Amino acid sequence: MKSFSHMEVKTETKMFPKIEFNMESCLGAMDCGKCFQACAPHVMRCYTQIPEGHTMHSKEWIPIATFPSLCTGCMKCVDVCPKAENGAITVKFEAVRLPKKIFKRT
Amino acid sequence: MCDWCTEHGKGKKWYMAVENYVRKFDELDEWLKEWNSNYRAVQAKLWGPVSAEMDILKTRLSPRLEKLADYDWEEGFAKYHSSQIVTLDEAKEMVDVSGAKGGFVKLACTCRKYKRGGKYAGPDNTLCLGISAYASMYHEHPERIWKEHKIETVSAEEAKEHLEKCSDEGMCHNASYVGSPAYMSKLCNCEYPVCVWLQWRLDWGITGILKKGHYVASLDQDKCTGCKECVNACQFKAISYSPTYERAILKEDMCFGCAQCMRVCPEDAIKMVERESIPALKEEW
Repeated sequence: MKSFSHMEVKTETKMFPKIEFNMESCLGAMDCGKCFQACAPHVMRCYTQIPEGHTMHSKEWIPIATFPSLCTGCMKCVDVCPKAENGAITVKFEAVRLPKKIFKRT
Repeated sequence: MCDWCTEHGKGKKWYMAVENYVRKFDELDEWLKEWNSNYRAVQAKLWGPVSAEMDILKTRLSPRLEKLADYDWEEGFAKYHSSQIVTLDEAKEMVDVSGAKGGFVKLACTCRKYKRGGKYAGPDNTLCLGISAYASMYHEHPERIWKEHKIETVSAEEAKEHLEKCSDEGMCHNASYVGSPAYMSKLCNCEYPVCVWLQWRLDWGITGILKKGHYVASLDQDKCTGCKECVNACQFKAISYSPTYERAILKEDMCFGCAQCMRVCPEDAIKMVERESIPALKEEW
């Protein structure tokens, strides 16, 4: 695949976020959704895995982190979360090896 | 003229050709038939795990995701569901061209629904303008409408007013097709980073999902007073302000041709020129 060709070239060690949701304490993306509404670079969005018969206001809509590489670690999502102390959302940074150039502005 | 125009435009721009508005939603290819029968499943399949894992694939090199790399995302999007930036004038012209073929519906923006959730996904989220494909879908298959959403059928004048209102708020317009290439479906009113088209193109560099428009902004440096209005209006970071020169600087290679800068400029210093007239950008889409 041509757009991934740069991945063989060089890698660097970088701090990368690990954003995790605990759906047992999360209030649901459509009913609450404060975490991804607070996120300026849109790291997270909501998503449903149940294709049929879901309604908008239900726990079937869950938040997921689609663009973790855009996360700056400002922790606003954790600050606004009403269930943060129950571990609904955790953001941890860990060192991973990444390709040197991930993004190209076009 | 981009390659879609030469292939589907019948001598015009592809979104100005009447032929691309008149096909029926149900007459499209297999992928769309699947979409028809199980719309929500395909949507969840297309936008759900894919986008999460694409990002991990690009950043973490996980071996478990190797099979995803076999899929050519550029081609996949260009084949099924892609878009091109148009100016406000072009968008209004498209409303005229599409005419009575399917009518117009103000429908829920899927990007905003998925990206923002909560109250932003509620009944007031009717920013997309469905023409042709989407309009006929909403008329012929009301069961596919998400029940919580308000679907408004509007006249051509109301549609144009809606486009103008969105332009005033700083959104840029997108002509998008669905199913077989160049079958007009929607006029999106987009903003970065909420819009999937813009974010995937700008942050991931997937060119198949969004094409640059047929125009490029051109700045008259003598007329520019350095009021910075255009800097705020540009969603593509193509314009910056230079304190040394005390005027705006326009990077044409990053311009997508949405014409928002021209709209906000109080001095008429910015005008849109045809992409063909700039040799270096002729093949930049």
